[in-house]
Amino acid sequence: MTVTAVAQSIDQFRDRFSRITQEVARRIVGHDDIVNGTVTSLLAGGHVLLEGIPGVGKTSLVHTLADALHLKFSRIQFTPDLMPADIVGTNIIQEHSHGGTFFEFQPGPIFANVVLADEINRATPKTQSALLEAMQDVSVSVGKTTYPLEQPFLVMATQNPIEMEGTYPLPEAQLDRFFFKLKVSYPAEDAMHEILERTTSGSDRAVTRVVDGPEILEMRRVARAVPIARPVQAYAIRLTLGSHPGSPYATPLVTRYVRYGASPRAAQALVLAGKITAINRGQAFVSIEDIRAAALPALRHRILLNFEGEADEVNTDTIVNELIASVATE
Amino acid sequence: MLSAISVAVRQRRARETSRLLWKIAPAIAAVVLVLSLVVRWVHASPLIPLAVLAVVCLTWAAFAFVRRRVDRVSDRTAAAIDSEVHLDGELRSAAWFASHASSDPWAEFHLQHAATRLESIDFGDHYPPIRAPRARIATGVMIAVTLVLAVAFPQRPRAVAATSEAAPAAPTRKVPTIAVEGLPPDLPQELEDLLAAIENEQLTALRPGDAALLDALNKLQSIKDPEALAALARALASDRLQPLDDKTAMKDLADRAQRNASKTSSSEIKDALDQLAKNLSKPDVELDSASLEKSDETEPNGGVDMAGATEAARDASAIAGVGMVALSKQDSAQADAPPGVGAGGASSSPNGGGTMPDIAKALRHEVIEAHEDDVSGDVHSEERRKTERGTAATSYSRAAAGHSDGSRAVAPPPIPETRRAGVQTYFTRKQ
Repeated sequence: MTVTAVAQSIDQFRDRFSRITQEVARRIVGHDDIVNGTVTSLLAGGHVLLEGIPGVGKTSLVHTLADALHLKFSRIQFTPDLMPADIVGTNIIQEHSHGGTFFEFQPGPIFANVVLADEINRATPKTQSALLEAMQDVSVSVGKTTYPLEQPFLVMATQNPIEMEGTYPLPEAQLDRFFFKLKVSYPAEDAMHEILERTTSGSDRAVTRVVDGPEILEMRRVARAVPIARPVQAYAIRLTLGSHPGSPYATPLVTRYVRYGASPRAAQALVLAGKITAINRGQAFVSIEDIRAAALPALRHRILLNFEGEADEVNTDTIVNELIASVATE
Repeated sequence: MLSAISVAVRQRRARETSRLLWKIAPAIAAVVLVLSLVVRWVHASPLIPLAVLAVVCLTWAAFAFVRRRVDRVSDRTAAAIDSEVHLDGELRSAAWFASHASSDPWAEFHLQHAATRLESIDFGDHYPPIRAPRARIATGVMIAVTLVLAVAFPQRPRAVAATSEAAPAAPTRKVPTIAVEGLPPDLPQELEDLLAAIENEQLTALRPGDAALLDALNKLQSIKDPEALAALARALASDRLQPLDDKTAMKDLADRAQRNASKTSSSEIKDALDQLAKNLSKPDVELDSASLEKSDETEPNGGVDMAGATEAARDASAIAGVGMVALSKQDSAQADAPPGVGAGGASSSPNGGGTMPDIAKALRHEVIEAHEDDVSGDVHSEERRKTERGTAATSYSRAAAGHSDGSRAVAPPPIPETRRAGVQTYFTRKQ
């Protein structure tokens, strides 16, 4: 690869990225950062957890993104009685035409490129855990057989805030597998006008597919090729380690309220997200600001509060913001 | 790439160095100014503040030179420049990749892009030279005052004389040396310097520890030999158009010494000059002393004329009868020594005293000065002597020396060898 090819790759990446976001923006009003975060997770090979109260457009966002991508899409509505086999599939008994029976694997909705796990925290932890292997290894094991999932594979889960009725908190292991946790807030007043005009006038805006699977995989390779200087990478590591109570980079809030800090997956998420942000800016380097921009969505769900933190209702965003402000960049 | 970064680093360091300079320069200039004032106050060399100023300047030049050298661009420096020039982390990242050779086309693209961007930046705009007008003015004024104090203004007249170190501002008259045994040849010059300093109001007090001047004053007080005094007076009057005779020269010197004694505030100098004037204006003593010397010279064999009852003998007996009695703790053999012998004794004991031939030999070269109050009858006399701690007064009474009474004479104690030279200087003068 030559320098010219690098420049072309960057331009191509930016073009595809902007096409995706623009296509999503045809239907989704506002939430630009949510859209960018979701696409970033897709290009980083991660999964997204969207959290917000009902009715703010989480599911619509995922639907729109799936429509914009030329990928296989499936939706799983998580309910309290949902079973793991309902997600990953199961072996069923089939009859041969010449007689006799045999087990045949019937794939579940997890066998898709984009999986919408809607209201994931309304299922029991047992069912939620059915996604663990798929999210980490991009494969599903049923019985003695492991079935690989098709790439690109993306789980986009939505959940209601934990304080809502009839919800189960996600296990820490599963939370850690989400690349980003994005908080979907209420749209602004101007965006509300736009939403009403689009949804109450009867003119539905169609979304065309702008990027297909191989292109997304190509974008993933380009994103991973962006070099990162060691001092910048060291900052990402310090930021991650700073979320641990015993770390020398720990802030007072971390020391007081945090039980477990972020895992190495958080550092991976910081660097990958930084690379995608950098290349999306047209640069072939990762800056400190790129890492900082990814810190909140990458760390907020990986910090586990202790009893005092839970009792004081400490928000992990506060802890992450303090980390960003206090961890030295040099 | 590294060269472009080095340019930025150099300009930034130059600005930082300049900022630091003008931040501390007024303080340093103030310190040097205060130092120059102190130096003038204590009359030290005016070169001291200039030397300090030169050292500071040289140190600063070396510091600036070292600071401008760019050996390796650290990540901290690159990050600082990146932040100050708003390069969004590109320079910092490029600096790292430039210092870590990589064949990755992405890194090369990154470096090329960063180099192009750096070339378009004028770092002079981001790192303009520090102006600091107030600091410059303050520093300039203080350094100018320092230089003026050190160079332009003459030294203030010294309140404390230091003849052994700094030379007086005005050159003193050169006077010839004298060749008098027991006196330094340059004593006239020292006296001339002293008198000139007093006349020029450059000497008003005596600085403690001024050994040279004290020594000169001691010598002046000890001069009672008329020939030495005459030689001293002749030397000091050597610049006259018409040569003066000894008496006139001595009188002139006595007047001058008396005049200057009244000018100085130092009691030690005053006493010394008074004593010198007194010695110079004693013609009768001169005559007596001269006759004594002559009589001494008529006895080339050096025999001690005990029956002669000379003034020297009388004075010596007086001294022996006064001073030495109290000090005498000698055994009877020493006490048997003849009266009026002065220093020494007749004993051959191991604790002192020389033998008679030795004493006789010593006395051949001694002149014992007669006291001015040498009259018949008991005489009460007070002698002021210059001591190490000041002026001491010794009062004593002695008997008239009409005849030698051996019963009242006590042999003087033996003089330790270590103090012999001092005693000879004090009481006697070698011929």
